[in-house]
Amino acid sequence: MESVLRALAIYMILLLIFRIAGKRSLAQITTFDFVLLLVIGEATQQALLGNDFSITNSVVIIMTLVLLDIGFSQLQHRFPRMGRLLDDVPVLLVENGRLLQPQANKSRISESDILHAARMSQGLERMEQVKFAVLERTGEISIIPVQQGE
Amino acid sequence: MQRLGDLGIDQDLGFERRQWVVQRGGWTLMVVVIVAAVLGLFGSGPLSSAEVTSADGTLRVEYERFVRREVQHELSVTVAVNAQASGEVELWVDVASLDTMVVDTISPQPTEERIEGERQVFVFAVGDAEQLSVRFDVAREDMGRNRVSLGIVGGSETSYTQVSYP
Repeated sequence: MESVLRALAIYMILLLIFRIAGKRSLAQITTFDFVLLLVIGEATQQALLGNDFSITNSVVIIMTLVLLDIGFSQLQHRFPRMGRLLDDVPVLLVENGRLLQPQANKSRISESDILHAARMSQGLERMEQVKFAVLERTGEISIIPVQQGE
Repeated sequence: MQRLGDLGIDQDLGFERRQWVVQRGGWTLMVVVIVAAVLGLFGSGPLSSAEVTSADGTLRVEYERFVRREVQHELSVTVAVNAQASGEVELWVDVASLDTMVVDTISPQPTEERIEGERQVFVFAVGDAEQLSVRFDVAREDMGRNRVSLGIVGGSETSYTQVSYP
């Protein structure tokens, strides 16, 4: 049943494309990203189902995709080096209130983005209150605030 | 709410462990299903492609054991045309089975189609060829098991079983 092979191919190709696109493409839900995700869903549907609209085909494809997901997460767990390849590593963006420009530029993150995350997650007001800001593997920015009395 | 040290958490490790066992079992089952699917248990694969020949060997049918509903598949019939033939081959298929299918194309096109009782007869012009190969592109409209009978009018016949998945 070729549907299984098609599901495999689409999964690997999408994985590769989004991996190359970089972290921010998936975490940030701006209008651009929302539209992108919506349209990509439509584009893959035809490739996956083809002419076959039976329940059996749908279920087989879904099972294949879920198994691939489980398989890759198991792989990452057993082989951390592989995990790095598949899922990236965290990047430090702010150290003691100071923005690390090269990393921020390469990651396409502005001071504004970091302040947004600081307000959302910690209720902070200014960059000086941010001890560390990290761009996580998932594309989110995590904020460690300066502790009281530091 | 339990307390684990300072943490108020509704944990139930026994339940978690049983769940993990069930999960692993479920994954194995899914892998088996996918492998079976690739092999053709749900259609389109080596487990599904089959062939049946009439007792005297003049009629050979290549069919799919497993198909999915409303998905087009091929039915191939090869007939050994006997020497004093009238330049025509009359192939019949039982009406009950045909009613469960949508026939998209028949290649080559029959010159005539008629119903004789419980059989639908397709007439093909063969000239002085020794063999006739007919391809039916069909799709099952129903689900479940079907027994299809077919044969040559006044000649040999055979049958096969086909399962259609939802």
